[in-house]
Amino acid sequence: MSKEEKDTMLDRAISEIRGEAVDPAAEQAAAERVWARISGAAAGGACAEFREMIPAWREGKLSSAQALLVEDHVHGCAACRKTMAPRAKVSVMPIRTAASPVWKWAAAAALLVGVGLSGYYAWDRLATPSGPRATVYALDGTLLRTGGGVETAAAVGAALEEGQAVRTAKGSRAVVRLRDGSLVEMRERTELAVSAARDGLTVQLAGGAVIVEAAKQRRGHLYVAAPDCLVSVTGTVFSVNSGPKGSRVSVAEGEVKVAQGSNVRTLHPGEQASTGATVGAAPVADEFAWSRDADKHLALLNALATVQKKLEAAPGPGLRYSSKLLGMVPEGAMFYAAIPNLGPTLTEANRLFQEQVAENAALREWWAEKMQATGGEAKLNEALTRIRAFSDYLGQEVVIAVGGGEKPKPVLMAEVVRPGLAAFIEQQLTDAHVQIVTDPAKAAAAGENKLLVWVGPDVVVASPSLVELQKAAVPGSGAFARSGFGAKIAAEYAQGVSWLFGVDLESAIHQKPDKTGSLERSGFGDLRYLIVERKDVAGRTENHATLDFSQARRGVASWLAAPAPVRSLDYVSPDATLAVAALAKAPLKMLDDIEAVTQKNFGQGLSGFAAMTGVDVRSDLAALLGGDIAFAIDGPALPTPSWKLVVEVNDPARFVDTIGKLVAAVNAKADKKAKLEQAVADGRTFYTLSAEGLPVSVNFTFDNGFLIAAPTRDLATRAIQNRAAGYTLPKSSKFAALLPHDGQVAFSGAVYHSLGDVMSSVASQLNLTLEQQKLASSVEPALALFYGETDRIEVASAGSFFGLRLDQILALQATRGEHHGAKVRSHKRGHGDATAY
Amino acid sequence: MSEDGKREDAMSASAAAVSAPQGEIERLFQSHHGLVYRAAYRITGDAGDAEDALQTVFLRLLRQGWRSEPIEKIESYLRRAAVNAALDVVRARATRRDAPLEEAAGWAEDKTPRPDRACQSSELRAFLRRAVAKLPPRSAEMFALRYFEELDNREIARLVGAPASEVAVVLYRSRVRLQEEIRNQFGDSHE
Repeated sequence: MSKEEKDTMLDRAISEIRGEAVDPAAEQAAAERVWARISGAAAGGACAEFREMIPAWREGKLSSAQALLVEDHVHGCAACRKTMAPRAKVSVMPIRTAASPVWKWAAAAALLVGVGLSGYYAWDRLATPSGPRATVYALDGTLLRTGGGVETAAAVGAALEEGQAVRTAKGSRAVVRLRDGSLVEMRERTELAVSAARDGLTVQLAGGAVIVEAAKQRRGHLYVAAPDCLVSVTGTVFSVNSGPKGSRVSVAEGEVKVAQGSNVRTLHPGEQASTGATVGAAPVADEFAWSRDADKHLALLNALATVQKKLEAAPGPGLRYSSKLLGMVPEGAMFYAAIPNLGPTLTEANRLFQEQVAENAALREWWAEKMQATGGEAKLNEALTRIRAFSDYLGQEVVIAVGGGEKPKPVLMAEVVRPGLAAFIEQQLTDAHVQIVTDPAKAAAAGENKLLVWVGPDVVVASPSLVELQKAAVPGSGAFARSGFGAKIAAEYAQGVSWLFGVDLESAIHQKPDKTGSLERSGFGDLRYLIVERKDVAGRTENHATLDFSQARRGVASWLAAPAPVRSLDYVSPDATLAVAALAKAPLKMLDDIEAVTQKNFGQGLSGFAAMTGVDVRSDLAALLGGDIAFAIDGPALPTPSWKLVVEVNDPARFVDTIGKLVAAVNAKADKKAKLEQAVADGRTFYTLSAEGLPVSVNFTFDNGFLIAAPTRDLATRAIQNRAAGYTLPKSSKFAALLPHDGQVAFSGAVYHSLGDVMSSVASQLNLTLEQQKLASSVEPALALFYGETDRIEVASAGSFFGLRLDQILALQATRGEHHGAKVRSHKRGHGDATAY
Repeated sequence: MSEDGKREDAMSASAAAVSAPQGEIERLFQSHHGLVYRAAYRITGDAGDAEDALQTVFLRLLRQGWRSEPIEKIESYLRRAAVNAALDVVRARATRRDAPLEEAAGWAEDKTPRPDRACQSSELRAFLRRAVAKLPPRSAEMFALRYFEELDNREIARLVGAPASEVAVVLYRSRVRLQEEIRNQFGDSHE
C-alpha cells in the first residue's frame, strides 16, 4: 500500500461512516422504545419495572442510560425513592478547560516545553533497555493479549513486549513477572500493559485490580499508572483497584506515593487513597483478600501498621533551649548553623522495629526474606552500629560556624558526652585527609585539603584551618557569644531551636565600603542579621526567617508595610496557580525613596517624562495609587495565560485620565497607534487598552477602590464576581491548610503557588506523555507569608521548602538529564479537555 | 458525564428557568429522534448504543428543559448532545470491559488476523471510532461534529464556546494523530 493510500485511509473511513445506512425500521423501533421509557419515567409510571432495576442500580451494574432512567424516575417518585438506599454516585475526576484561547501563546509554550521535553524523551527512549518488559509467571484461567482488535491467548512463560496489553478473562487470575523481578498479580477482568523508561518500569493499568509486590528498585521507581492516578514505589506491596468510578490504592507494606493531578499523597502500610470522595474507602484487608497470598499479605499488613504507629509515636529530636557550643564559636564568625544530632532518634527507631520483628512471626519472615534478597542485613546493621556509635559520643547538636575575611574557613563543633571519641575516630577514619590534633596550641598548620580534628575533654572541634581550630579550642574567650550576632543567636535558643541558620549581615555588608552611599540611602545599610529556623512542632514543620535591621526600617527597605488585611487578594480565586500580594507604603513616598537612592537622575527623569507626556508621575499617577497590590495567574495557563493585576486606586477617574494622556503621548511619537476604549456592560465601565501589532490587550475596570486588570473582560468580571461570592483564595481550605502557625492575625505580603497545577494544566493541554506528567505533578502547593515589622521583616511558611521536598530535589539531581517517555495510552484516557453538553 | 458537562447542564437548566413541558419535548422527540439516533450511531457503530444515547439526550432535555431557540440552533444543539452522549457510551464501554463482547459489535467484528485486514472497511471504521473516543474529550467532540456531522468550524466554535482558531488547531492535531494511528495500525505490515 502506498503512503498516499495510507494517508487517505482516514478520509475513507470518515466517508464510510458518514454514508453508513441505518435500518429505518430499527431506528423507528428504538425511538418507540426510548419514548415509552422516557415518558413512563417522566409520568412516574411503571414503578414495578423500575423497582426491579433498583438492586442492579445499587450495585452499579446498569448501563449509564439505564441508570439515568432509574434516577430520573425516582427523582419524581417518592414511593420508589423510599425503597432506594443511597448509592455512591459515579466519580468524576476534575478536568481542566481552556478559556478564550489565543493559539499563539499555546504554540510558544508548546515550543518551549516541547523542545526541552523532546530532548529528554529522545534521550530516554535511546537509553531504554531493549527486550521483553515482563513474562507471564503464573496463570489460573485465560490471559489474553489485546490490541489491534485481535485477542490471542498468552501462556505461562510468554514474553510481554513494550506496551503489549494483556487482560484476564472472567474468573481468571494471572501473575506477571516484570523484568526487575516485581510480581504483579492480576484479578479477573483486569487489563494492563508494561512499558520501560530509564527511570523504571510502568504498569499501565487500564482497569481492574492488581496487587504489586515491587522488587527493590536499584535506581528509579516502579510506577503503576491508572487512568486517573499515578502510583510510584521503590519496593513494597500494594494494590490498585481501578474502574469507571475511579481508583483506590491500598498499601500492605512499604511506602507508595499516589499522584492525582497536582496532589501527591504518601501512603504507609494499612493506609488507602481514593481518587475521588465518591469512590469511598473499603477495608484495606478486602483489597488483598482475593490474592493467592492473601494470608501472608494480611498478616504483614497488620504487623507493619503496628510498626508504623510505634515509629510515629516515638519522640524525635526535641527543641534545644541553650547551647554550650555557642561560647566556643570563634570571634568574628558571620555564619552559624546548628543541626540536631539525629543519631539517638535513628537508634530508637531501630530498637522499636527490632522489638516488633522479635514479637511478630510474619514480620520476622518478611524481614528475613528482604534481607536475604538484598544481602543487606549485615551492611545495614554495620551502618547503624557506626552511626549509633559515633552519635553516642556526641551531644544534642552539631554547630558549624564560618568566619569573615577573604578566605573564610568553617569550624565544626559538637559536645562530647562519652570518653574514647579520639580512639574511635582514629579507628574508624583511616582517611589520610583527617589529622587528629592532640594539642591545638602546639599543632602545626594543616596541609592542603586536610581536616584537623581535636577531641577535648567535653568537646570535639574540626576545621581545615588551624587558626579557627585554636580559636574554638581555647577556653574562656566567649567573645562571639557577647557580640550582637551571638546575643541574637542566644535569644533564638531561649525560644527553642531545632535547625537554625544565622548570617551576620551587618558585618558582611561592612566588609566592603559603601563608596557611593547608595546602600546606606536605600535603608539596606541598616541590615543586621538573617535568622532562618525550621522546627517540628506538634507534628507539623514550621519554617521561619527574620531579617533584622539596626533601627526602624527606612528608605526602600521600608516598602513592605505593616501587617493588615490584604484586600487585593480577595480578587484571586482558589483556582489560582500563582499569587503574589503585598501591602506597600504609599507610592508617592516610594518615589521619594527612589529619588534618595538615585539622587538627581531620577528627579530629572521624571521632569523629562512630564514634559514629553504631560503626565506628572507624582501627582497624576503615584498620588492616585494605594499600596495594596496583587498579581495572580488565576485560571488556565494555556492557551492564554490568565493573569490578573489588582491595584488599589484612590481616584479612578483621574487614573483613567492619566492613562488617556499616556496613550495620546505614545500616539504622538510612535508609528503604531495605541487605543484606550471604553464600554459599559452590566452597569460597569470597562476599559480596553490595545496597541497595533500587539496580539494582546489589557482590559480593566474598577471595583471597591481597586483596579482589576486582565487579558479579557470576562476574567476581570469573574474576579469581581468571585470576590462578591466569597470564592477567594484567602478563604479557601487549601490556603488555610498552608498557613503557618505563628500567632499572627494578618500579614503584609504573601507568595502562593500551586505550580503542580500549572504544569499539569500545561501537560494536559499539550498531550504530554506520562513521564512528562510525572515531573509536572511533583511540586506541591506552598505559601510563604511576609510580615513588615518596624525593625524587621519576617517570613513564615509551613511544611516543605516552598513546595519542594528534599527527597524530590535529591531525586531530580540523581535523575537529571535522564529518563522519561513511555507510550501511555491508558493514562491519557480520562485526562485532558472537558466534555460539554 | 464530565464535571464541566454537569456544570453546563446545570447552567442551561437554570437559564431555561422552567423545564419545557412534556408535550413540547415529545414534539421535539418525534421530529428529531432520527437526527440524534443517526448522529449517535455514527459515533458508536452500534444500534443498541445509539438507542442508549438517544434516551440519554432526551431524558436530560426533559429533566432540564431548553431555551426556545430557532430550529437550526436546536438541531446543532441536539447533534452536539448526541455526539457527547454517544462518546460517553463508547468510553464507558471501553473502560468497563465487562460487557459481553458481542454487545460491542462495532468494536471487534472479526478477531481473526487476516493479511488483508486493512482493506476491510468495517475494521477500519471500528478502529476509527475507537480512536476518536480515545482523543481528549473536547477534541473528540470537535472532530465528530466536523467530520461526522459536517458542521463548519464557525458553528462548532459557537457551540463549544471556543474561538474558531482553536477549533481549527484542535481539528488539525486530531487529524494528524488519527492518521498516524491508522498508519501504525494498518500501514507497515502491508508494504
